[in-house]
Amino acid sequence: MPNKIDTLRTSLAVICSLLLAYMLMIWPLFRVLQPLRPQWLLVIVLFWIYLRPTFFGVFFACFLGILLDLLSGAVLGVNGLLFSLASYLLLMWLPHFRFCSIRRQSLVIGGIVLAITGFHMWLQALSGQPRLPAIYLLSALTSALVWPCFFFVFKTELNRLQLIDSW
Amino acid sequence: MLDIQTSKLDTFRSIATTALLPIRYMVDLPVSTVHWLTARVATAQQLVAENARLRAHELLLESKLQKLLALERENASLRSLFSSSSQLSGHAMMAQILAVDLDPSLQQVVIDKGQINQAYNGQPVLDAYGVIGQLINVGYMTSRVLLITDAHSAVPVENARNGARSVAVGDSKSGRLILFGVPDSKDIQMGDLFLTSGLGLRYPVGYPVGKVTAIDHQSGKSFATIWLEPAAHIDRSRQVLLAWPERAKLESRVKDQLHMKVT
Repeated sequence: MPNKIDTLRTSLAVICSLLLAYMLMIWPLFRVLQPLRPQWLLVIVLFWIYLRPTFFGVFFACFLGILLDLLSGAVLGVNGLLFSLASYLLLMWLPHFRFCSIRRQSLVIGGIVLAITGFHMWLQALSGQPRLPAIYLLSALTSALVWPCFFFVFKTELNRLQLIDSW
Repeated sequence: MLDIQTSKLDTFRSIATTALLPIRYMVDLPVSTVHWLTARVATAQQLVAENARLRAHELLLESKLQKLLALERENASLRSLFSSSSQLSGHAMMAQILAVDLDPSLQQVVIDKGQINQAYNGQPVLDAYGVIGQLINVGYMTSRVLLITDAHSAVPVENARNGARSVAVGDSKSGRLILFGVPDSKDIQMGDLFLTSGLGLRYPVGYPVGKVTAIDHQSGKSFATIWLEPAAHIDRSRQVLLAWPERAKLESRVKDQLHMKVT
């Protein structure tokens, strides 16, 4: 059983990381660098789902996606849909995913982000919205590079959780 | 889908966006701090030089204004001779663009004025050099500006040289505007300046929209493709003007006709 202080610290880490991810998603960048912006929020959401799959799930991801829609002015619900799809993919593969090395895991994350960005473009074309240029697919690459960083940032968190969770 | 095709979610969106306001301001904070710091750190010498430059500039503008006032008076008297309503004027307010990147498929920015400043949907936004866009989605304290380069934006324009009318539609990909439905035979040259014509009753009359930078005549097509480079410094300016143009009032007869057509 996790004790109270640990739960508190974990939820604090979750909230802070999410806030930071939202800020990074709308952080002003040069136009040239914009396609390289990692999908900070999506990757951190997948990270927490990976760590606590019993706690966070598809609805959690969907809710955070809708918040991102509101913040970035995108069509309401698009990111909600994309985030729930991505988290569903991850949850489906989680039994295999958990035993992969970090390098392989970031490959899978990159693949998920690539698929999601492609799906987003398809949705935009379908609804007659202006479409993202294809260069934005590069964000999958940077997102994959970001994934291992979280393991360093949340090292203490990981240690504690591995003690708490029996699996 | 509901969001694209109807405006039913607008109130929900403006309320929820207000709740997320702190995040936007937190992102804007470092940038505005840097601006503030650079303003503080400037040396006295720089300030004196800038002051002198601004004074000279003001003198120039002042003299132009004298001419403008005379012209305005003359214009008003001419209009009264023609017994048409005199328009012009209206008032304006400075607004600050928040340093925030929105969804990359949108050509939109966020400004720090909203309902509490009596901003309204469809309000024109200008800068010192021309038209920037119009307000969409006015929130409580912030609102979004649809730039004229967005694919959803269309500005009724006229050629400053010969008064030829057209509609300038945004092109999100290139950050320029395309003139819509211009016959191949029409007299439009490189470098022509296009102004707002005020026909949509949304933008005030006579503000620069863009200059022609490319003309593509394709044989076999009856319409030419004409590209405009926006006159406003859309990417560079951080301060913009919110304008409350005085609307030219439609005669009630005309209004009735319009409503009959719609319903």
